[in-house]
Amino acid sequence: MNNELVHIRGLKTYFHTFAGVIKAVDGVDFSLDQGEILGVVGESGCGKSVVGFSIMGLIDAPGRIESGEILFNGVNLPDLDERDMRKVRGKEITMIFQDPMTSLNPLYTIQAQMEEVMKLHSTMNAEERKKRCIELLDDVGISQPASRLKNYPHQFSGGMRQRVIIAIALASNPKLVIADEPTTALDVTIQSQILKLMKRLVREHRTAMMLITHDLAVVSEMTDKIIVMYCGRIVEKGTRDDIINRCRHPYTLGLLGSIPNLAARQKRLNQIPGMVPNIMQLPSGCAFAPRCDYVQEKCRSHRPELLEIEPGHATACYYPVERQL
Amino acid sequence: MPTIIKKNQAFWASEFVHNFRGNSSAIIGSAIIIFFIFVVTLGPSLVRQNPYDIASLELMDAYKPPVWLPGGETKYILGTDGQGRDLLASIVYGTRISLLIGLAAMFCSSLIGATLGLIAGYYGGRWDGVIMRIADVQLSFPSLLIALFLMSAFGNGIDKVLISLTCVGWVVYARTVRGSTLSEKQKEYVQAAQAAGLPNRKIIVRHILPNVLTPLIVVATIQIGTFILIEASLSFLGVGVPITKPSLGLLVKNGFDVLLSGLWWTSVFPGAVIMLIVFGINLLGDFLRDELNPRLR
Amino acid sequence: MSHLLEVCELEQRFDVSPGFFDRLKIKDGRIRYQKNIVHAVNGVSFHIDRGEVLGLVGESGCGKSTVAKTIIKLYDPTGGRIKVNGEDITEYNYQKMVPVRKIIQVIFQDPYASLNPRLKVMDIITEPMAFIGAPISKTELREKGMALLKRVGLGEEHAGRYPHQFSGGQRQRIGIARALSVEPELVIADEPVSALDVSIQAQILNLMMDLKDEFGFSYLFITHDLSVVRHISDRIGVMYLGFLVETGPTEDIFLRPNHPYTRALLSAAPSVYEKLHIDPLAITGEVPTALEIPAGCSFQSRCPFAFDRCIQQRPRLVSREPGRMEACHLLDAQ
Repeated sequence: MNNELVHIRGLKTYFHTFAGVIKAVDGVDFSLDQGEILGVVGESGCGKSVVGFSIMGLIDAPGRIESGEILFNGVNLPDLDERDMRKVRGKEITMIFQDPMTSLNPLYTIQAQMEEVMKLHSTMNAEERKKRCIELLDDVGISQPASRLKNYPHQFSGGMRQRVIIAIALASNPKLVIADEPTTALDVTIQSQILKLMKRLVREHRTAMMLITHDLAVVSEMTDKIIVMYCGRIVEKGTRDDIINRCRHPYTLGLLGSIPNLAARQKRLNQIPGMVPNIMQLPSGCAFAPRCDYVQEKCRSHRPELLEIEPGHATACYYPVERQL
Repeated sequence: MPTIIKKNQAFWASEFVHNFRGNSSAIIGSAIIIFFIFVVTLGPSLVRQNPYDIASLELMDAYKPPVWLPGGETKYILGTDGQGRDLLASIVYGTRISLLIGLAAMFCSSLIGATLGLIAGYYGGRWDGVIMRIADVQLSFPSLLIALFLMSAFGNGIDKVLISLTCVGWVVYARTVRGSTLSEKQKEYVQAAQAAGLPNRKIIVRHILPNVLTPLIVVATIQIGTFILIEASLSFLGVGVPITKPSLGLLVKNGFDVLLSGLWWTSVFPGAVIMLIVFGINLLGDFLRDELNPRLR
Repeated sequence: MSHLLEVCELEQRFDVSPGFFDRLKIKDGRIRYQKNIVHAVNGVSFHIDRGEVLGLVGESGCGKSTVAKTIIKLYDPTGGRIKVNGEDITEYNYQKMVPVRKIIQVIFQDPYASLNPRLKVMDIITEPMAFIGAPISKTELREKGMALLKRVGLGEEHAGRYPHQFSGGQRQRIGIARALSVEPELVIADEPVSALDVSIQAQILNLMMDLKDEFGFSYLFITHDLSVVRHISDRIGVMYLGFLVETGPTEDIFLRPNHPYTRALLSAAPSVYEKLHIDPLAITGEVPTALEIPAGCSFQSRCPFAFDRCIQQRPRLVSREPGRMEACHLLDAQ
């Protein structure tokens, strides 16, 4: 039985700016099943957010989807015209953004903003909508939801706003939720609560989730599958276990080694030398070659493709490393 | 969007110039301004007559119409005024005065306004309160009214016009600079300078001032037009520049008395020139405001 | 032998009251004149000795950044005392602070806002030297500047460039060079790596540790990231709502946190590999506002163990075993 919900094939999203062409996403392939949580990990500029926006069809000029397919339940989303896409956006696929302080309109009540989604995508009457709002607020852990309906965003703290945003995102029972750095702006104790909440809700509703973040610790606790991105390309993908415990790409290895271990003090952190290259002057061959400890001649001249090394685990590297724990 | 690390490009290859070329109003505005700079610098040597040299005037040539109307002469392309002065020459000299006053007023009021804005924004507290309250009070009166009042107290004269314009015009600079100062003050590089032991006045001059110049430039550009208009209004009302040094506004006034008797050119042409200059300044100012707007790095 | 830095009962309150007329409010049927005071730092005491790294952790709004800025007198403290090498600098004005600035320098958090965009890199990093300490010639200034650039991993060609031409990690290196220029004894690092990518974080942290080993200065390292603080600090202070709730050696606290908030903080921290082997404690709710701090313990609203005494009496930071201090009534009861 085909559980596959999303299939991205060869996605390329380029930004044509005055200074040059930014290949923000340069050939990305992955898939996501129903109810699965996928982590999209990478550092700033790797293109992970652009993938999310591409799926939602929210890429504005000077950017555009150059080529590739975004298959959602078999339908190629870039083919849809704006009207049809609007039926998908907000109903089938919803998005949670990073900054809870600016994701809500300060001029409208919480109820108004939650109902906006419902009015667009369902046929409930006012009574039913209000009931659903209270239900949702309760679901996301806001106490005394009925009394808070008429509150404005500024009357909520950051963590609570993010809960409201999650509620709005789940209001229409979407098949896919794209969460772009949903907890980066939150404190650790609040982050922990929000992440637990998100995991519980998506499991309950069998919603698929794409969790875009730079925080490897968060993905290691939340996700089923992980893809690691660098300079617009996927360098490694696999199950959470594959990536965290058995990573094969030098970049993933370097990334994991760079994080100070919470559980034990280290003498010195393993650092990846150099910097992320200028996205408009990517090296020919493997984008990571200039910084790679294991680089060989072939890496510099030929760009490696994603190759499966074990079922479900692929890496774009000619000389995959063995993880040393 | 990934961070783009820019190399030091030649100015001509920069995005600023590129956007400039694509923006028709910016080009038109700049063309107008460059044209008038040309008029002001080279004009007097190109027109045959110095309209303030009484000896060169011929009273017989008074109120000659422009060359394309019956009765016009090629000697006086735009016609003459009541004293026989060539209108084209008068406009050239008048533009000098108007622009001179506009620019000088801009420099004076920006100097004073920016200084006060920096003090108000950086030190805050009492300084801010006092300066901003004066500004608020002043803004509750129309600037023309204040200038009028001052000029009737001072009497006519270019320097007195400058003083009045400065008294009226400093407010907008002070407010703009104060706003920018407040926002720059929050930034960590100012705290770093404090931690480096710099005294406050050095911090203001070395750190804050260079970073508030951009909005200041935008405001200053547009203010030149405003000052030209106020001066023109003052002169039109007879309390501006003296008749020995007529600006465009005074020229309009001189022709105004005979406007309704059909001798329209003496008033209309200087008026049109005022409008054109201010229009050009506004076009360029709009472009600058959009371009120099701090955007995402 | 006096401590390098000693802070006693430091207090910092900010008056964020709105304008005069907005302050008048109608309460209980009468017009009251109400001030809005943010109690950012409420009686914090700690010390730092030569060569050690004290990590100050806490979530947003706990006052750790304010403590740092108050120590260097960017704000004048509203209470308490600050001593540097035994010298009481609490009342010092700008003039008197200049020599103290040679002893304490700062590395700031935001690599994009901590460098003046209109100054060249060489000018930025030599600025402290130009204003603090003995007068120095231009050539010597330039030489020292170049040496600093090299030491933080940049090149001579970078000296004439402007900040916008550098990446976040490089800008932070410039900030470090600037702080080190006057050879300070204490460097306050206010979330120096929070705005950087993970791989760059590691580079900068390694650089900071190397520099410390080479020059022998101390750090007051402020961060919200627990894995970073474990890696870099010898001792930790945990802050909540302007109060220091626990201090002690890093390893000790991570293995055996005493204060309920510390336990909750450590439990909530996500980890790539093993979680910490501590008794987990999950807390709910949000951090209360610093405008109205409760009369008793600041943590009472979220503490699962709060009892009567917590609501009535503010706990003091007290040592119950050598090297460790906690502000908690629960621990007295045990």
